[in-house]
Amino acid sequence: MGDGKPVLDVRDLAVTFPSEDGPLHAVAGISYRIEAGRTLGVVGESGCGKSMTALAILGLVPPPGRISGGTVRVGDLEVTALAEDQLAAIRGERVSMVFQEPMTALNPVMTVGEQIAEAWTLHREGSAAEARAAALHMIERVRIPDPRRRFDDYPHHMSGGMRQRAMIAMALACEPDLLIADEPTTALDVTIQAQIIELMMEMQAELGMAIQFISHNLGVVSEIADDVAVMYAGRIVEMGTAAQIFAAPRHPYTSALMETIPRLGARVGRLPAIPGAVPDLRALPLGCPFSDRCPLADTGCRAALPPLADQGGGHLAACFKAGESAP
Amino acid sequence: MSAAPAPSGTSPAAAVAAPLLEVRDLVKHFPIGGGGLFGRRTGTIHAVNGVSLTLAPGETLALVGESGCGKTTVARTIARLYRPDEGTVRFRGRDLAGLKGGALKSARRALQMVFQDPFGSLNPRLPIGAIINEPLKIHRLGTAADRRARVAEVMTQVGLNPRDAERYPHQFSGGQRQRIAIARALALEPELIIADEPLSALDVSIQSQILNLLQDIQAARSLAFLFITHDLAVVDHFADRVAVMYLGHIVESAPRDALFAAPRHPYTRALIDAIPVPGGGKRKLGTATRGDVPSPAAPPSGCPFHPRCPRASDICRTAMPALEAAAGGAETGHLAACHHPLDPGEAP
Repeated sequence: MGDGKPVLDVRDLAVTFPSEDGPLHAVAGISYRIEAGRTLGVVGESGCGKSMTALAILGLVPPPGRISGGTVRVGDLEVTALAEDQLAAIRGERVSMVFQEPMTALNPVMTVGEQIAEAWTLHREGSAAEARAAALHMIERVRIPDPRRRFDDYPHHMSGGMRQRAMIAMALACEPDLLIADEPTTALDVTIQAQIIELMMEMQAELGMAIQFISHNLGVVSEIADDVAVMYAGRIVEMGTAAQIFAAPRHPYTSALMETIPRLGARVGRLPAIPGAVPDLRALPLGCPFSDRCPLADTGCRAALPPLADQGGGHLAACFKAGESAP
Repeated sequence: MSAAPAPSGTSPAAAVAAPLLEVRDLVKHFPIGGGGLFGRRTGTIHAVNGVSLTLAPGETLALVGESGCGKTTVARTIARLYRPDEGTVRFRGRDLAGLKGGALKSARRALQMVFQDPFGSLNPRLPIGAIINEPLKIHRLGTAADRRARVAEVMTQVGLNPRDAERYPHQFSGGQRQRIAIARALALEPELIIADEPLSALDVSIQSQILNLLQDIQAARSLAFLFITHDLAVVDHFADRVAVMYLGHIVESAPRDALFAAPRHPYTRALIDAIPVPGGGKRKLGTATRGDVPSPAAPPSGCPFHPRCPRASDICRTAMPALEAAAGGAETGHLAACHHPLDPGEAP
């Protein structure tokens, strides 16, 4: 996936939570990198570890969870070794995050303009007037109409789409190297979702940041990602360029996910369904975590964990049956 | 579960039978403010502004639109969770508003609802067998033994093990909880199920299980569905007919195939074009429909879509277009409310 120097380099990252049933590995040893100007789409269902990975990068794993292994490098900084005040200094400056529901991330009693100015002031030296000018400039850049008037709006005055634009303005106020977006369009209507995806692509073209785009929606990821990682039960089970993943998925979970989505115009009598439920980390099968739902699984799959191995051209899949089709 | 094949295309019975459900000129507005500590009425949400629709026995009508379009209000008004401000809802030929006593109870039995959140809609303190049994008890159907047998029957029908009847909702996954909600709706052998975004809270790998289940149920017995959703791809898969709503109005209504082959309303076209396709490649910049969905508290004049519409002209800003058959749409029942409808196959 390119030869440039990565903005983000994650190696063997593990996040563990204590429980009555023993330690739960919300993230169970994952490695990936993202270069400047590129977007990695991270796809998976609830509990697969995609959001926990993002929180780990920002040093925000909620206790009693903790990073139990691996390294996270942002540029030349080893994030897992930083103290809280050092982490605070890079959040917003080097790494920013936008969330699914901007209402939970925005302060309801501060105007949108003040909040963007505050995000700028945290990491930049300047007068209040300069902060205000920078915030106004960001509101213009994220194409919120009538920026001067909107500066003084409170978040609840804005529509969902405008709030997400304001959230993006705040996240990008200090021009970070890495933007992590966790389901940023999931709460939005489809026509507004398309606008926000376009905005993120345009901002990336202007600022050159790397983006880690987390979503359960394969279609949305397909619209924005250069590279794709598919997660299941705390692990990356498949990773490659978007073209590799969508044209020829090698992991049975990825191909099942794609077949199971109803698509316009591709009418089949019945959708192929993935049996069973989304995995429960307390009750994972032995061997491959997908083996209890996989049509290809045999005794080998239930005995040993398949490694994430190159299937050709840098296309990785963690499957003993990679590339075989369902019977 | 039934092994019957899934329905395909429009059901021929749907075209000739008398309507099971007939909604005429439904209007529902909600006041803003007017309650609580600082009770001052500050405005009105124009949730539903004159919606008419019909549903034949055994037919699936999808009511599609984005948030604030009024689709959920239509569903809840039909189910009598809200009282309509204007208009009528006729079910099995009788006005629901005039029904009392036994006739009302009978109508309630025949019309059931399934909600988006399968956790919020299930009583956490009751075992699931009791949850599914509750409507049977309320309607005093059969003996206790009959009811137990019926609970086991519908549990099997939705793919649940009847031996799990004594377990509680929290012991089930999201997909299983939606199965429980569907079993409860089926227990009374309804003629119409109103399903309000029944897939939206579920994981992707679970959605197709529930969609297939709904198709199986429909194939096994003639059951009409009013399916409320924002997801056009699901509609394409499941519906016989589609009605597209925008800001309280139905802007287009057509048999499924006609709608997807040749949408007439620019909003329908915009919705279809906005669906992200896995493997469709990166989004082309500058193709997103501009503007925000206006607030239903301050709907625009004229056609509600005109501020976002690439085809809008002066008349669109002043006059609300009527929902009527566009060229060639009279025979197929393809209606659109647009002053400048798209020609078949035309881009916006």
